[in-house]
Amino acid sequence: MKKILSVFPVGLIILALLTCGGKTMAQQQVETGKAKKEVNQAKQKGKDKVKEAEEAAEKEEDKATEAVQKEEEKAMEALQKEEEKAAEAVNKEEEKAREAMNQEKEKVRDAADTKEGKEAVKGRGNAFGKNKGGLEGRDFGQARAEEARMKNQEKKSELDRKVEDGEQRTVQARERIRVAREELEKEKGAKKINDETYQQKKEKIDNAEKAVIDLEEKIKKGKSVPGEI
Amino acid sequence: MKKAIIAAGVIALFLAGCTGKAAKEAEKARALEIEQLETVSTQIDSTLNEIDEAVMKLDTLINEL
Repeated sequence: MKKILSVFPVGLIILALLTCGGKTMAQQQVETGKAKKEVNQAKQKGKDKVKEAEEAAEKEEDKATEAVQKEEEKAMEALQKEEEKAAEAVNKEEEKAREAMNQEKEKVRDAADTKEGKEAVKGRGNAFGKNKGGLEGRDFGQARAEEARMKNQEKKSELDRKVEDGEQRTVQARERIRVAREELEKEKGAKKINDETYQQKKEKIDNAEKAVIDLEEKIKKGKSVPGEI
Repeated sequence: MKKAIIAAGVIALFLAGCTGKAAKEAEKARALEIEQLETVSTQIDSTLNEIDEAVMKLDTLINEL
C-alpha cells in the first residue's frame, strides 16, 4: 500500500505532463494551420496583383493601339481632304489653261483669217510660210510651246500631290513601325516569342523602315524637279 | 528720186533680213524651250512612277507587320 501511495503522485505528474504536452501539440498544429492559411492568402493576393498588373498593361496597350488608330484615321481624313482640294485646284487650273488655249487659238485663227482675206483680195498667193493645222509656222510653234507648258504644269501639280501624299504615308508608316518595334520588344521581354520569331519580325520591320527611307528619297527627288523653265 | 527709191529698197531689204533672222532666233528659242519642257515632263513621269512603286512596296511591307 505504501508503495502504491508513493507511485501515485509520480503517475499523476506524468498524466498532467502528458495532458499539457497534448494541448501544446494541438495548439502548435492550429498555429501551423493558421500560418499556412496566411501564406496561401498572401500567395493568392500576389497572384491577384499580378493579374491586375497584366490587365492594366493590356488596357494600356489597347489604349495605345486605339490612339494610333485614331491618329491614322485623322491622317487619312486629312489626306483625303488634301487630295480633294488638290484635285479641285488641278481641275480649275486645267479649265483656265484650256480657256487660255482656246482664246489663243481663236486669236491665231482670226489673224490667219485676216491674212487669208488680205491674200484673197490682193492675190498674193500662199507666201506666208507653211500651214500646219490651220496655223502658220510661228503661231504653230507658239501653240506647241503653250501646250507643252500646260502639260508640264499638269504633271507638276500631279507630282506635288503625290509628294504630299507620300510624305503623309511616310509619317504614318514611321508611326506604325515604331509601334510594331515596341510590341516586338515587349513580347521578347515577356518571353512570349522565341528568338527565331523575333528575328523574323525584326527583319520585316527593318525592311519596312528601308522602304520608308526609299520613299523619302523619291519624295526628295520629286521636290527637286523644277516647276518652271 | 532714184536715189531715194534705191535707199528705201535697201532699207526694206535690210529690215526684212533682220526680221527673218529675229523670227528664226525666236523659233530656235521656242524649240529649245519645248525640248526642255518635254525633258522635264519625262523626268516628272519617271519620278511619279518611282514614287508610286515605292508607295506600293511600303504599303505591302507595312501590311505584313
